[in-house]
Amino acid sequence: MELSKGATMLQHLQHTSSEFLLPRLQEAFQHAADFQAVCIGESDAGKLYLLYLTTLVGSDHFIFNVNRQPQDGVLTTLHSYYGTSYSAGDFSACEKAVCAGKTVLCTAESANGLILATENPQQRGLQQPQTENVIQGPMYGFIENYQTNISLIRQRMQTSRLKIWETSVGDLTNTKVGVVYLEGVTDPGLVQYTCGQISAIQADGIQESGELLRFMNPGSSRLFPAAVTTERPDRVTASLLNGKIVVLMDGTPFSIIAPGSFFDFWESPEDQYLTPLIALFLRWLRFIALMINLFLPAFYVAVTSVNIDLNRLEISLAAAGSREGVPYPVWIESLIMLFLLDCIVEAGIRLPRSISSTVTMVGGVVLGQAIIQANIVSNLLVIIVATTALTNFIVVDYQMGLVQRILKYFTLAGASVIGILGIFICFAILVICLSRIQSFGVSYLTPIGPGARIRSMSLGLIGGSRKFSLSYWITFGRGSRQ
Amino acid sequence: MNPSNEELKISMPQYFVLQMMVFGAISFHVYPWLVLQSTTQSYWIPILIWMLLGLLGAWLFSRVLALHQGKDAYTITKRVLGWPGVILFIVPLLWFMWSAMVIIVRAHSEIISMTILHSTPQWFLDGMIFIGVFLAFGGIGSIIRASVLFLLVSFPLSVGLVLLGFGDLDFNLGKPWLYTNGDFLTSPKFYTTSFIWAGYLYYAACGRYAKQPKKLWRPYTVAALCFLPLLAASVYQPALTFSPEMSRILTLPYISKMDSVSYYWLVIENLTAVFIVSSILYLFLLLALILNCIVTAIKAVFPSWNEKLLYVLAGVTAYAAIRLIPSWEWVERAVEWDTVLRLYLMYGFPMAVLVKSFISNKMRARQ
Amino acid sequence: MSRRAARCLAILCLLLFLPGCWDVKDVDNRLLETAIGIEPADGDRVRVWMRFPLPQSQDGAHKDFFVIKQEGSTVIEAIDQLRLRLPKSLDMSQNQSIFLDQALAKKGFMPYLEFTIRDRTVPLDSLIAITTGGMKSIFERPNPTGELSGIYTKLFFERYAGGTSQKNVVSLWEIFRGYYDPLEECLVPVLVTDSETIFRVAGNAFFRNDAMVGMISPEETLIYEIVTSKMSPFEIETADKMNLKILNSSADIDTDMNNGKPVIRIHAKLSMTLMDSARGIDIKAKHLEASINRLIEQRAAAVFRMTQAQESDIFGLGNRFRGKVPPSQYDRWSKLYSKATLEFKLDSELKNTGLQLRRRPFINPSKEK
Repeated sequence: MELSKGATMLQHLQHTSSEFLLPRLQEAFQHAADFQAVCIGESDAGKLYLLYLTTLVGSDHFIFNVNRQPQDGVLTTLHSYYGTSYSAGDFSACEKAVCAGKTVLCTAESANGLILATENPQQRGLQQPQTENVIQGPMYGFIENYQTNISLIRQRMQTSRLKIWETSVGDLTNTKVGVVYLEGVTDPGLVQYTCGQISAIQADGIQESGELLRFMNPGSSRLFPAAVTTERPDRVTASLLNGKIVVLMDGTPFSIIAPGSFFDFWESPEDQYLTPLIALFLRWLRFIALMINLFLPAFYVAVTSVNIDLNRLEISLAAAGSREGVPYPVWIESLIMLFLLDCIVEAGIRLPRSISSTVTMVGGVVLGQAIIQANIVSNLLVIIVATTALTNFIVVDYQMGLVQRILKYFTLAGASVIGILGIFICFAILVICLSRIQSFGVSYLTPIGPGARIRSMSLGLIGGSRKFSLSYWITFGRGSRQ
Repeated sequence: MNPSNEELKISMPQYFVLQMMVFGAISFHVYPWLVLQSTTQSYWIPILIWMLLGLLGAWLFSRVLALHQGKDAYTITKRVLGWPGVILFIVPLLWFMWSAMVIIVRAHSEIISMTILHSTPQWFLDGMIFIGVFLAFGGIGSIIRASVLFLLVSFPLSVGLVLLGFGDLDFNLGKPWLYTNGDFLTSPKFYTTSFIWAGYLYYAACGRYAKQPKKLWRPYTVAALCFLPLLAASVYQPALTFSPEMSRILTLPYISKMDSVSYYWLVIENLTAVFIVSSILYLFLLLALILNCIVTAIKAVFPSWNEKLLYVLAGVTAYAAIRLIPSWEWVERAVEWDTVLRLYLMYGFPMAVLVKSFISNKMRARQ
Repeated sequence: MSRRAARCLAILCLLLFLPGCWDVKDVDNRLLETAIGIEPADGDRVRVWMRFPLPQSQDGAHKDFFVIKQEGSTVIEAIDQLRLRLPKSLDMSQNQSIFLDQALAKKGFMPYLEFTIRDRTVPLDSLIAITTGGMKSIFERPNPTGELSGIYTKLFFERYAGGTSQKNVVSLWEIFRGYYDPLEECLVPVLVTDSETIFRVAGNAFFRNDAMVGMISPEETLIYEIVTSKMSPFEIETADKMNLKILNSSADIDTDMNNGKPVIRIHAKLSMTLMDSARGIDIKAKHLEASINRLIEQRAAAVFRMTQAQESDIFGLGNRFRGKVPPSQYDRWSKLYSKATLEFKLDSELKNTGLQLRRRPFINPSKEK
C-alpha cells in the first residue's frame, strides 16, 4: 500500500531520450557551491536523484540521508515524503523551485522532476510594528515572510470571500506578490486594474513594497506616496472591509493598501478602537498639526516681513525686538533654522537609539541655545521651528511626514515673496497637484470629486457614524458609481 | 477603471460647488459698488430681480443642454442652428468668456495691489492666470476635485467675514426698506449687475457630464440662494456702516467695510488680507472653468487642435490683454460694456436655440 | 507629453515667484508708527507729529519710544519729508490713533485726513481725537502707566479697557461717515493735557460738514449716549448729592414730517441703581426718579438747542427720515434739523438701591476707648 504510493509518485516522471533534466540543472547551477545533487538509490526507472540548495532547504526533510539503512528500498525512503505536497515540473519550473528552496526529485533520464516542498525560509518571529505604534490594539505586525503575512490576515478574516491573487514579479528576483481582496466588497474593476498593473511590471527585481508601489503607478506624483503602506494586520483587514485592495510582497513587512487617498494618511489604526469623540478629537488634532506643520514657518515669515498689519502691534514689536541684531532677512533665517532642524531629525533616525537621544539633546538644546546667543536667528523663530518639528511627528504615516517636511519649504518660498497671499497660492497649487493625481485609477482626493473610490466614506476629519461624517454631506462624487 | 472623459459623470452637488465658486469669484468686488450706484432706495429689490432673472436664464439654458444629452452646448448649437449658430453663439461666447477672464484677473490684481501688496508689480500679480491654466490642464475632473477643497477653505472664510461684519451696523441707514420708485430701471449700472448671475453660462462645456441636464438649473438655484445672504451682506454692510452716500464714493465698499471691523478678541487685525486670500481661491477655480469652456468651444469648431496648446494660448493671450488694461476705472467700464453681449448670451441665445428646435420638431411631426 | 507640459507649466509658475520680493521688508527694518498728531504751523503749513514705540531689546537700557515732528505744506508732504529723515521704513499700517489740533478741526478736517482713506495707509479703525493746547506734551511725555506708546490711546477710549460712556469712541471711518452722510454729523472727543496722565477728555466736539462748530461737555455727552443707545452700564450721575449707576438705557424715537418740518419725539428709559446715598438721607425712589428725569431732560434740551443752533445733527436723527424725505432733499437736512421740533422725555426707574444697609449706619466705636 505504502510502496504503491511511492510508485505512483514516480509515475509523474516522464522519460525522454534527449532533454534530460538532471544534466541541465547541474549545468545551470554549475558554480553554485551550495547546490547538491544526491543519488538516493535506484528504482525501476533508474537512479533517483535529489537536487537542492543546501542553504535553503529545511534540514529535517533530510533525516533519511543520515539514518538510511542500505537494505531499505528507495521507495521506503520516498515514503518519508508522504504527506508533503509535490508536483511535477519541467526544467524552468524546477529551476525556479530549487531557487525557492524546494527539492527536485528526478531520475537520471527523466525530462521533468518532482518538486518537493522542503523550503525552510529564514524569518524572524512576530514583533510589535516598528513604525506604527498604538497604545491600544493588536500588538503584532507583519514580518518579511509572505506566507506568514497571509496567514495573519486569514486568521483575522475567516471567510471564504477573502481572495488572493498571486504572481511573481521581477525577472531575476522572482519575488512573490499577492493581491488580497474581499469578494463582493471590493470593486472588481479595481482588482482587475491592480492585477493588470502588477502583471505589466517589467523589472529585474523589486526589493520593497514602496518600490512596487511606484512600479504599479507609473504616472503618479513624484512627491506624494500613491498609497498607504502598513505593517499592521488590523489596519489591513479594516481596509479590506472598507473595499480596498491589499498588496503583499515577499521579503518586506510593509503591505500596500490601495487605492490611496490623501485623507487616509491622517487616519491612525487606533481611531477605530477609541470612543468616537476621542477619535474625532485626535483626528482634528492631527489635522491642525498638519496645518501648523505646513504653514507655521511660512506664516512667521509672512507676518514678520510682508503682512505686518495682520497681527497685533504688540506681537510685531516683540518680533522686531527679538530680531534686533540678526543680520539676515527673515526668510534666510528661517531657511537656516529649518534646514538645521531637518538635519537633527535625520541624524536621530539613523543612529542607534541610545545615541540618538544624545544627538537630539546636543542638536536641539545646545545648538538652539547657542544659535540664539550668537544672534544668528531670533528667539521667536526657535519657538516656531520647534513647534514645526513637533507637529511633524504627529503625522501618522511616515511617508507623508517626509512629504510634509519638503512641502514646508515650498510654502516658505511662497510666503517669503508675497506673504500671506503666497501661502495661499502655494496651498492652491498643492491642491491642484493633488487633484490631478490618480492612485490606482482612483481620485487621490477620495472621497472628493469624480473618480472617487466606491464605498469611500470618511474624509478623515469626522469619522465614526456615517450620518455625522462630513463626507456624508459632501459626497460630491462617486461620479463613477456603478 | 481609469475614468476617461467619456464615462465621467458629474453629480448635482458637484455642479453646485462649481457654481458656488463662480459666485464667490465675481460677487464681492464691483458688485456692491454697482448696486449702491444703481438705486437710492431699497437695494434688495434690484438684487432680487436679477436673481429671479438669473434663475430664469439658468432654466432656459438647462433646457438647451437637455436637447441632446451628453453633448456640450457648442455641439448642440451646431446641430440645431448649424454654422450660423457657431458664429452667432460660439464666437460671442468665446469673446465673453475670454474678456470675463481678463477683467476678473485684472480686477483681482488691482484689488491686491490696492490693499495688501502695494509695491508688487502688476505683471507679477497678473501671472495668477497661469495657475488657472495649470488647474485647467487637469481637465474637468481635476477642476471639480480642487473646487471642493477650495470651497471648504474659502466659503467658511467668506461666511465668517460676513458674520464679523455685522458689528457697527446702523439699520436706520438702510431706510427705506420696503420702498422703491424704480429709479434703478433707468440706471445702466442695474443692468451691469447681471454679470454675477451669468454663472450658468459656464455650464456650457461641463454640462454634458450631467446625468440629467434638464435639472442643471437646480444646483444653480441652490448656489444662488446660498450666496444671496452673502451678496446682500456685501451690499448692505457697507451701506449700513458707512451710510449709502459714503459707500457710493468708495471704490470697493465691501473691502473698506472689512477694514473698519475691529474687535478686541479678534486675533487677525487685517481682515482684508483674509478676504483677498479667500477670493484668490475662488478666482483660480473660475479661471480654470472659463479656460475649460473656451478650449472646449474651440475644440467643438476645430476638433483636431491640440488641447494643451490651446490652454496655454488662451492663458498667454489673456495675460497679454490684462497687461493692456490701463486702470481700475477701465475695469469698471468694461464690465458695463459687456452688458449687452452678456444679456444676449444669457437669454437671446438659449431662446433662439429652443425656438429653432421647437420649430424643427413641429416640422418633423408634420411630415 | 501632457505630463511633461504640466510639469513645465508648474515650474514656470514657480519661476514667476523668483524675480523679486517687492513688499518684503522685515519687521525690524520698519518703524511702526502708532500715533499721528496734526497741528497747524506758521502760515498755512501743518506740523505732523509721530510716535513710534521701540521694540524691547534684551539690554533694557533703551528708550521706550521715539518721537519725530515735521512741517510741510500738506500732511502727505510732511510725511514724505519725514521719510527722508528716518533710518528705517515708515510703516503706518499699525497706527492706533490720530490727533487733530482744534484749530485745524475748526477749519475743516477733510484736507488733513483725506489721505488716510485714499491711500489706505492708515487702518480705518484708528481712533481719532481733537486736542487743544499743542501736541508737544501728548507726544513727548512717556506713558505714566507704562503701556506701549500708541496702545495708550486705544486703552483710554475702548470699552474693553478704560472707556466709559463719557469717552465717546470715534474711529476714523465714523468721522468720514459724518462728513459724507448729509443726514448726520459726527461727535469727536476733545482732549486736553493732564498733569498726571497724558490727557483727559474735556468734552466732545460737534461738526458741520467737516468743520468743528462747538463742543459739549462730558456730562452732556450722556444725552448723546442715551439717544443713540450707546450707553454702557457704567455711569455715575449726581443728583441730590446721590450717585447713581445707570445700568442700561433705551430710546424710542418717533419721527414725522409735519408741514415740511421734522418732528422728533424721543422717549428714553433708564434703569439705575443707587451707588451712594449721601449719608443717611431716606431714599424715596419716586422722588429720586423725578429729579433724575428733570435733570437729564433739562440737559437734553440744552444740548438740542446748542446743536440745532449750529445745524449739526450729531444724533444721526436725519437717518430716520430716509424714505420720508426725498433723496434730493437730503442735502438740506442740516437746515431742516435746526428747525425741527424735538421732544425729549425720560422715564427713569430705580431698579434697586444696591446692597443697602438696612439700619442707619453708625460709626464703629474705636478700640481705645
